[in-house]
Amino acid sequence: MLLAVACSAIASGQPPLRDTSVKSPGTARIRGRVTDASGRPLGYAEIRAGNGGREAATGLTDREGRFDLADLPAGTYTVSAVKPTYLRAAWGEERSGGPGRRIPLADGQTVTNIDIRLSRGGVITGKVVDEFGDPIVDARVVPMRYAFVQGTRRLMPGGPGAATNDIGEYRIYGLAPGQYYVSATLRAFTAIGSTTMDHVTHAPMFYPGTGNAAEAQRVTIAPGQTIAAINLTLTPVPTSRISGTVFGTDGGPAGGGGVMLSPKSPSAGIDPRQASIGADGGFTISGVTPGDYMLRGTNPAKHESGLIEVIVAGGEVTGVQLVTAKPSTVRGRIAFAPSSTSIDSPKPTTIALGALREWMLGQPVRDAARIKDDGTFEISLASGHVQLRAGTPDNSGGESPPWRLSRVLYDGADLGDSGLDVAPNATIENVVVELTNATVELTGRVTDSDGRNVRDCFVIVFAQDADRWTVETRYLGVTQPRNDDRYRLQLLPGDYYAVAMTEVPAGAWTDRDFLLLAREHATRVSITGDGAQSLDLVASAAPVF
Amino acid sequence: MPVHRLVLTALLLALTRASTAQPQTQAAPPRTATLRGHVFAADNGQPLRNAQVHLMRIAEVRQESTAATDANGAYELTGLRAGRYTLSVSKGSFVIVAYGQQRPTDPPKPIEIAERQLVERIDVSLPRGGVITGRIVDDLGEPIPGVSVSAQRAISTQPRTLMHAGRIETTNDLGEFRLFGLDAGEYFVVATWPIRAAANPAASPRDRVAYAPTYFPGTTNIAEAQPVSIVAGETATDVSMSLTTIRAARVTGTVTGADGKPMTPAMISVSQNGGLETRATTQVRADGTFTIAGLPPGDYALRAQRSGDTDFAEQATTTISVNGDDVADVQLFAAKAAVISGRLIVDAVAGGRLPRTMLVSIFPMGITGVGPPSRPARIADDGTFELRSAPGRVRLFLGSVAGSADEWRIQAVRSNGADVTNTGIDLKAGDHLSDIELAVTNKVASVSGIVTDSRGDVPKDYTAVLFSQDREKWLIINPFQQIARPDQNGRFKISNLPPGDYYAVAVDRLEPGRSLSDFFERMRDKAAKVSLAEGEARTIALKLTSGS
Repeated sequence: MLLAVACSAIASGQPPLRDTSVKSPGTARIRGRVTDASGRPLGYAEIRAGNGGREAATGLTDREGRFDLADLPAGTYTVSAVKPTYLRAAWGEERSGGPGRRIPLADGQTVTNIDIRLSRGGVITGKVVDEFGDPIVDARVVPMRYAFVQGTRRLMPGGPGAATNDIGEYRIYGLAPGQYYVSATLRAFTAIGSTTMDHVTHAPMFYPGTGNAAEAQRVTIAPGQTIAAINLTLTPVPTSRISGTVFGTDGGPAGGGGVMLSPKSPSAGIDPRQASIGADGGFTISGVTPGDYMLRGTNPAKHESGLIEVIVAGGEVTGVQLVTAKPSTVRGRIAFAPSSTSIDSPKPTTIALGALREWMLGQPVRDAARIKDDGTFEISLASGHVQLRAGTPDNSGGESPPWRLSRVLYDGADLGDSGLDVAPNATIENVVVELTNATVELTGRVTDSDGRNVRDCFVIVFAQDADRWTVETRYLGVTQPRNDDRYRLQLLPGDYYAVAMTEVPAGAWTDRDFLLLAREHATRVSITGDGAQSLDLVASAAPVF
Repeated sequence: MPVHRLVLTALLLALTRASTAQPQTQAAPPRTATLRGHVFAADNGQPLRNAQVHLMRIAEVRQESTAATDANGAYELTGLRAGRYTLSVSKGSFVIVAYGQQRPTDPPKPIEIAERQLVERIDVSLPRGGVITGRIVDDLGEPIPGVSVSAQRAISTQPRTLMHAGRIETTNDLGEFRLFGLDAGEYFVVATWPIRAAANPAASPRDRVAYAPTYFPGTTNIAEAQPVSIVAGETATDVSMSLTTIRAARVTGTVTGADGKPMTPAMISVSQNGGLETRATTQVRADGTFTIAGLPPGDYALRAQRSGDTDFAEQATTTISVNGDDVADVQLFAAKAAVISGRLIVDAVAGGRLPRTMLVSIFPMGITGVGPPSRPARIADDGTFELRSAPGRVRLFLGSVAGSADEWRIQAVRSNGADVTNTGIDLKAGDHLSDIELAVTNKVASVSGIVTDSRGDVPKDYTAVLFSQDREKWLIINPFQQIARPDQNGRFKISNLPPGDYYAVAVDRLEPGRSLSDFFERMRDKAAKVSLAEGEARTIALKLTSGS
């Protein structure tokens, strides 16, 4: 009924598709046209206009690819266009996915000829067969890319992927230009609560035919390119059933809790598996492919957990025994170094303080501290190696420097970089977490080799001492040049490398291997406590690895 | 198995799964039985390798085991519990069929497995499937990616009602689709634009464009749809359509908590009115506002609840109509949940102990599409239970964690002494009804037996049909009519029957798609009469008759 009404509105020739969606009270206007790479107009492309970082208006192109965003308030705009199978593009962008040029717009002004060219996304096609050469239906083929997550460079899905059809064919489309690793997996049909599983499954496979991500072959896609015949063979591998018992510190079975099995090293296509622990403490997980795993048992009723490594090499793994432990405790107080400004130190309870673990089980683990008004804190956490990290959110808008972690003092030593080893069932007392607002501003310009200002880049300043490249290190600053083409960073005193790079994947600076390569393009800079320092940088391309 | 029971069981299972996993306290039944068989191509009898075999436990509607056939088409499933099963097989372009089926429209045969039994020669022959390919373009002739395309069968003509037959496929960047594994027959090809409403408009590349559902050869009117004829193993090409572009809308509004303040932190979800599936979920902002983008014209239900409120203690719901324009200022006001508590009353004649993992759940009557309304509650050891629900008229249902309550059913629900089994319970916000009596029994009637043909032999295959002697009960969905196929020993069994007077008949073949009441009318004279008391188990012998 409603559909029919909507259809007739369009059929009767009214132009409802060209309306701007957000009713804005302004009087300015932006008009333009969207075409494909060959200049052919593209209808029904979505147009989005941003004003100062907020979406100000949206619209659709008509049959001739034209758009007309009216009633805009004065401001500085960016305009981008989106259409399925095409790559999103901003007007004036210098590279695919880069920032667009700004359009200053005064009241009553109409800006025309905002013409945007969209290139088609890349395509990968191929065929997946089994060990007999027969097509495999419903294999999941995913374009993977390296991304940086909490200090680990790992293969992550770089697009939605596709499933194979009855003749084994797949087609992945809409890919941004770049480098991909193609993985295929066959997910067994597992209905709700499947009780037994096939003893054979098909392990995840990377093109051209390896289960090891490190041996996978890179597929490089140029804008609009189609790469065919990325064919894969999925061969069966034996799977194992893992069973065992989980006990608590009281020696009794950890009934009512659960276990989670995760691959030890992050690898494509293997999801963590979960099972509940029976009243007798027993658990069973079936259908596990060979590999090194970590098994975590938790008993929420008793606030206990434990971790054990399990190596699966085909065949049953029985009698795994896991003992959970009570959480350990870290106690101490928050201290503030004398303020470098007239601003008072913040209330201790506003500090975000927590114990952070290195990337683990596919999830970052942070145990937050309970902080009292007098600055004393307590963290309840599982045993292991942790870093204490603290800070305040910088909501002053750059008016005053934020408070940040300067030292973690325990037993006369600064553990800010090395971290703290927490034994099972331990209580660690008298840890002093010191914050300071006495940071030094480093500022400067970034230019290309011809001396032109570069804004589409990251400035990364990191410690010369590689021991300080820890998770959420205090000695790292990352920023982009602002509207005045200058970058600004607040840093703790110390010896640093500084580098400006274009096309850096987000989070790359948390990866040691990236920092090792970035170091070769870097400028040394020593930050001392004597006021703002200036350093101009020449942009280089990010290392490819 | 009656349709309504399947649907409800699926709903209960979905809810059970949504709740936290609970430990299974009962001793697990021994896994000692083994099942073997072969998979062949129906047309030439060649063995099929790497065919996927799935064994489903009938009582629990869940998978017991899976396997793939070897190079000789043989499979083996080990470590099975005793019980009744169905076995289905899939392989590439072939039609997916179950043991006992020649075509997917035939009722499957159950497989009866005893402890430590080795059941062999459970063989399945797969018909070669038909294929439909085509291309979906918009009104500018441009390919549309991401359109859902399905082949559907007509299950009634006046008005025309369609049902999915097989998989739903999605068009690629060229607008192309390929539907495969289709049984021979006539299909209507339907292209629909899936709702992918986005919480964050900036993240959605399909915020503003949607398409009207369209039937081949290109009409939005179901009555004008033309069927495509499919022959086994052949491909119908160029089943292509052009879809009309319609505008998707954004919905913005506010959510107010029961305390009169903006409800935050909270989540708001949108579902198509009448459906249980959530189409998008977004965070309500700190000031109580929200935005949902990409909604094509249609009727939707919105539901908000506080983050972490797993008990559904406070919910805000509303329904909206979207017709292409943005909908602003939608206001949701939260109401406190109603609480129902009560106790289980076990039928005096019931045998056996109550399973310890029994659950009781609530469903709204006349689904308003506001998603799963509450979490099922576990029945305590003393038989008491407590449930929370959004306001409205609701009914109670019995479920279980591990299927262990399958033999149990509700006899009656009483509120304040009044029987509300069928009328439901009317709940107002903040109500606490504490006197609900839930009468349950595991005495369910059943009929089993054997069938002989005119020569006195036991036929290899037949379908037993049981239906009420009362014409008023000849409805499409009701527990008074059930069918059964023989297990591998030739016996049939129909269980879970309400007490009543029935006709029982065994036919050689049940033609799909025929009028039920016509069939019952013709069979009445040939049928045997069976009367069942509550919990009674009868064994009968039937003569085979012709179903056509």
